Amino acid sequence: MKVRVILTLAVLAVFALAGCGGGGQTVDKPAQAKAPQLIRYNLCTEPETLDPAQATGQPEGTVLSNMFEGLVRYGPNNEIRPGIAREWSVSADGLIYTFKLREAKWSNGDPVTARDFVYSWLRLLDPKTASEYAYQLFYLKGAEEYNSGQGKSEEVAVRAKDELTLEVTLKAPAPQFLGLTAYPSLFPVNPRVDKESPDWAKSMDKYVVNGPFRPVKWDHNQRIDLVKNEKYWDAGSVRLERLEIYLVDNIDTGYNMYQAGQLDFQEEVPTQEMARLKGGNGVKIYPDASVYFYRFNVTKKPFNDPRVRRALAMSINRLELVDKVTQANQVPAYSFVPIGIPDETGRDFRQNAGNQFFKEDLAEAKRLLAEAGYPDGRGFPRVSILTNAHAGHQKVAQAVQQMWKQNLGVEVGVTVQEWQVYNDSQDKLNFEICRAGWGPDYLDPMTFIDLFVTNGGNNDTGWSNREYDALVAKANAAADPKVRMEAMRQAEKILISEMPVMPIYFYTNPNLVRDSVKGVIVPPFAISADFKQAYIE
Amino acid sequence: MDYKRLKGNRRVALGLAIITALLLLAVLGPGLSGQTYHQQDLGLTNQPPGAGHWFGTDSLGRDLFTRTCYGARISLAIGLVTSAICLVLGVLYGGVSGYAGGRVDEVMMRLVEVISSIPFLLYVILLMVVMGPGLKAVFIALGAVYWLTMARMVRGQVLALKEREYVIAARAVGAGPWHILSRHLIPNAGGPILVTMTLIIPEAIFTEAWLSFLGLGVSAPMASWGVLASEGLEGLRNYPWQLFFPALLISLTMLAFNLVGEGIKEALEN
Amino acid sequence: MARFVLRRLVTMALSLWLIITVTFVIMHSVPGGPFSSEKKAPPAVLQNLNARYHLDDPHWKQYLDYLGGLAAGDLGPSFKYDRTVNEIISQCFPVSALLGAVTVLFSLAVGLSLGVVAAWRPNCWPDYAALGLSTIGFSVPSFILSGLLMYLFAFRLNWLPPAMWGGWQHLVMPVLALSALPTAFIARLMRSSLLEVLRQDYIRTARAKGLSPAGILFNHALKNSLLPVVTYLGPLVAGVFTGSFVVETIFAVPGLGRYFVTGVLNRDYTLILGLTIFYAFFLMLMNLLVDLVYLLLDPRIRLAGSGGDRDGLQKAQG
Repeated sequence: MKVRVILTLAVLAVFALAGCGGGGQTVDKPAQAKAPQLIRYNLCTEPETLDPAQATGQPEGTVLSNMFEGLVRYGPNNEIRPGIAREWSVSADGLIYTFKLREAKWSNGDPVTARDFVYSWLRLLDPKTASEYAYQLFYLKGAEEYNSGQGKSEEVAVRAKDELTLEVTLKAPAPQFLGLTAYPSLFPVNPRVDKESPDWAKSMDKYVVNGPFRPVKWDHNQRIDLVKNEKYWDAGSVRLERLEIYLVDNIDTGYNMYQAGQLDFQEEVPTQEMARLKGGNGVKIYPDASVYFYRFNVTKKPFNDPRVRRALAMSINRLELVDKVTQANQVPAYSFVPIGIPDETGRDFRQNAGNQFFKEDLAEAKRLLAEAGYPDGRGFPRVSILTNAHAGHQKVAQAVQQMWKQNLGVEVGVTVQEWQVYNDSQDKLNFEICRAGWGPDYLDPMTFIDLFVTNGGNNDTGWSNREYDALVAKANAAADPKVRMEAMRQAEKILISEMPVMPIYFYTNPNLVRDSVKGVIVPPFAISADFKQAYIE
Repeated sequence: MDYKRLKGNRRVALGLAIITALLLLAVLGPGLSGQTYHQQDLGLTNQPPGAGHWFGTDSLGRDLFTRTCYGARISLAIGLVTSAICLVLGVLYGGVSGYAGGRVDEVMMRLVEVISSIPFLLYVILLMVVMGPGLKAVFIALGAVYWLTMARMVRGQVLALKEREYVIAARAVGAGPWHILSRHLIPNAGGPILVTMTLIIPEAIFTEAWLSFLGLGVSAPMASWGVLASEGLEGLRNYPWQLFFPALLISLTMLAFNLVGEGIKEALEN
Repeated sequence: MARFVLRRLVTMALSLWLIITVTFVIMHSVPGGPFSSEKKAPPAVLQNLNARYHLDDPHWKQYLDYLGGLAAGDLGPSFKYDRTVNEIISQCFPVSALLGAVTVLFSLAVGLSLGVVAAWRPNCWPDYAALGLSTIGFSVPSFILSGLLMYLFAFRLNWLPPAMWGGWQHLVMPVLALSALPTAFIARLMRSSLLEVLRQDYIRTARAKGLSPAGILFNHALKNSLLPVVTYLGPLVAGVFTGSFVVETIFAVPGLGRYFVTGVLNRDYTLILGLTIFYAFFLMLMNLLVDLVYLLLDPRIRLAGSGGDRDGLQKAQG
C-alpha cells in the first residue's frame, strides 16, 4: 500500500516537474481568475468510525452522507428525492416497498446492485457486527429476530428480485421508513470489498463509495480530504472539486482559523461572538428540528403534582433566555414537537397544531403553586436542576434558577455532573429536574411522541398515562395518515397539559459560513451538512 | 530559624501585604460591592468596568467584582489546603524514603509511581460519585496527586544530603534518624521544597478549573479564579476585561506566595 | 550497576501489574460504560455489543483475558474508535514526543540559563527579572497562555497559523505554552540549588585558588546543583512526552494527550488501560534514568543494589 502511495506521488511529482520545467511555455490564463472549487469545513470532532454500519453520531453521519448515497436523498427543502432508487412504490397496506434502482457505479467501477443493499442491510442486522443502530431496520419483518440471534438472515424480509429491483416488507405500516433509507446506517457498502478486506473502513486506500465525493486521506485529529467522485451517477450536479473536512475540536480555535482564512465553514459558533456576528456576515442560522426541555421526576415530591409542574413551566421568560443567553434565534417552545416536522398535509406539524398549548403567566403560576400547597414558594422542598458540564446548559440552568427564585420564590440548586454520570443519573431517575434535548431520528412526529409511553426506554420521567399510550398505539397501527397524525396531535395535548416535561425552546443551528460558500444543504436533523450541490462563488 | 531576619526582610513584607490584601478582598469584597456572585441581570450582559460594576459583568450579567472575590475564597482555599496536605504528606514520605534508602526506598518509590500512573480523571470521577459534589472531594483529589511531586523532590534531596559530612558527624555523635531528618536534612532541603510548593499551588488551582469544565469541580454558580479566567478567555476578543482581572489576581497571588517562600527560605538557611 | 538495573526492572514489572489491577477495578466502579448514550438502544442491540467486546463476561475473566492479550503485546481494540489501542498509540505518540522533546529542550535551555543568571548575582536586577519572568510562568495556566498566544500571534498579528500540525510554524505556540511552567520551575530550582552550592566551602576554596567564575560554575557548581532539576525532569519528560490534553486540543495537535482524557470520559476501557500502561512504563523508565543520573552526579549517593560494599560497611558499623 505504501509503495502504491509513493509511486503515485512520484508520478505526480514527475508530472509537476515536467510542467514546471516546461521552459518558456506560457500558460493560458483565463481573463478572470476562477475561484478554486474547494471548501474547508470544520466538523469539530474526530469521527469514531467511517463504517456506515457502525456509525452512530452526527459527525460520522455527515462525512458518510457526502461519500455514500442511499436509496433516497434529501433535497434542499427537506423533500425526499430519488437517490440510488430512481422510483419506488408502496403496496396498499403500506407493508411492501418496491425500489427500482438506476444504473449507478461504485468508485471502483463495480455496478451498484440490489444485492449490495441486501448484503449491507443484513450486515447492519448481523448480531456479530454488533451495530448500535441495528434497530433502525427493525421495521423489517424478521429483522429484530435475526439481530437478537433468534432468526436466520434468510428470514429478514429484504430481497433482490433482480439486479436492479429491491423488495422490502415491513412488520407494520411506517411512513417514516422511506426517509430512513437516506440515513447512513442504511447506506450500501460494496460487498466485494467488504469480503476481501473487512478492515476497509479504517484506511482510505481501500475505501469504495457510491456518493458525490470519495476519500483521499484521513489524517486522524487533523482532517479528511475528499475529492469529487467522477463515477457518481449524478456527478454532473457536483461542482466542488475538493472538500477538506477539518477535525478541530476547539470551536474557538476553529473561529481563529476561519478569521485567518484557513476555514470556510464551521458547524458551531462561539457564543461570545454571536452578538457581534449575527445578522451580518459570517453566521447563518439554519433550522434544527430539536427541542430543549427539562424533565421532571414525577415519582418524587413535589413533582408528582401536575400543578407544581405547570406552575414552574409558566414562570420562566423564554424570550429572554433565547435572546440573552443562547442568542441564536431559537424559538420559545410552548409545545413539544419541534418546528420542521411535516404532518399529513405536507405542512409543518406546528403550523396545524399551533405552538400555544400554554402561556407564560405569572399570576396563574403563583395561583397553582399556592393551590398545590406552596404559596410564594414557602415550604418548597430542596430540589436541583441536573445538567452536564456543557457551558451553555449551565448558563441556561442558572438563568432558569434565578427566574424561579424571582418569580415564584422557589429556590432550586444546580447540580453539574460529568456526562456519563449525568446520563446514568437520568436513566436511574436520580434527579428532581433534569436538562434534556431530543433530536429526530426521522422527520415524523412519532420520533418525539413515542418518547413518553409508559416505561419507554427514553421516557426518564416516571410519567405514565394510559390515554397517551392508547393514542400512540392507535397512531402506530393506523394506515390512514390523517388518523395517525390526529392521534399524535391529541397525545401531544395530553403531554403538555400534564407537563411531565417542560419545553423551553426549539433549537436552531447556527453555523459559521463564509459568504463565498453557496449551495450547502444544512438539514434540520441527522447530519450537519450536505455538500453535493455546494460551490464557491 | 532567624525570626529577626524574617521580619526585616522586604520581600516577605511585600508578599505578606499582598496576601493580606487578597484575603481582605475575599472576605470583605462582596460586602463592599453590595452585590452577589449569582444575581443575573440579563439586560446588562458583558458590560465593561464602570460605576455600577467595578470589574464589569459576565455573559449572564453577573457582577464580576463580586464573583472574583468569591473566586478568591475558593482558589486561595484550594491553594492553601492542597499545599498543606502536600507539605505534610510529601515531606514525611519523601524524607523517610530517602533516609531509609535501600529496599524501603525502592518500595516506597514504586508505590509513588503506581499512584502517579493511575488515571487522575478516573479516580476524581469516582471520588465525586462517592463523596458528592463540592470542594471536599476536590481537596482530597488534588492533595492525593500533588503530594507525589513533593515526595519525589524531598527523597532526591535527602538521598544526596544524607551523605554530607555534618550528617555523618551527627550520626557518629549518636543522633537518632528523626533528629537528623528534622534538624539537618529537611531544613537544608528547604529550597527545593519551597520552590515545589510554589509550583503546586497554581497547578492545583488550574487543575480545579479544568475539572470544573468536566463537571467535576466546584458547582455553578460558584466559580474559582480558574473558571472565571476560562470564561473570560471565551470573551477575549470582544470583552477582554473578563479575562484580565482573574488572570491579574492569580499572578499577584503567585507572586506573593513566591516572595514569602523566598523569605522563609532565607531565614531557614541561617 | 547491572544488578541495580535488573532489580529495578523486576520491581517495575510488579508495579505495572499493580497499576493495571487498580485501574481495572476503578474503571468498572464508576457509572457509565463505553456504549451508554442518551438514546437508549433496545436490549438485543446492547446484548450484541457486550458479546462482541466480551463485556458480558464476568469481570475477573475480562481481567485475565486482558492480561493474556497484554503478554502478547496486544492492547486490544478501542471501544469507541475504529482502531486498535496499539494503532492509536503508534500514530499519536510520535507527535506528542516531538512536541515534548522540543519543549523539554527549550525549558532546560532557558530555565537553566535564567537560574544561573539569577543565582550569580542574587538580589540584583537580573535576579528580580528572572523572578518576575518565572512568576508569569507559574501563574498563567496553559489554557490561558495558549488562548493568549493564539490571539496575539494568529488572530491579531497573523505571524503564525492558529492551529494544526505540519511545519515548524506549528510548533512555536504549543511549545511556548507548554514550556512556561517547566521553564519557571527549572529556573527557580536551579537558582535555589545553585545558591546553596555556591555557599559551600569547596567553592570558596576554588575561588581562593583563583579559578575563574566560569570555571567554578562548570567544573564544580553546576554538577552539584543539578540534582533537584534532574528529579523534576523524570516526571516532566514522562508527562510532556505523552501529551497535554489542553494544548493539543486548543492547537489541534494530533497527539496522544487528548486520548487520556477522552478515554476516561468515554469509558473506553481498553484505551484507558493501554494508555495507563504506556504512561506508567514511560514514567518508570524515566525515573530509572533519573536515579542513574543521580549516581553520576553525586557519587556519594547510594541506591538499592548500587553499591554493595557500602551496604556491608554500614552493617559493620551497626
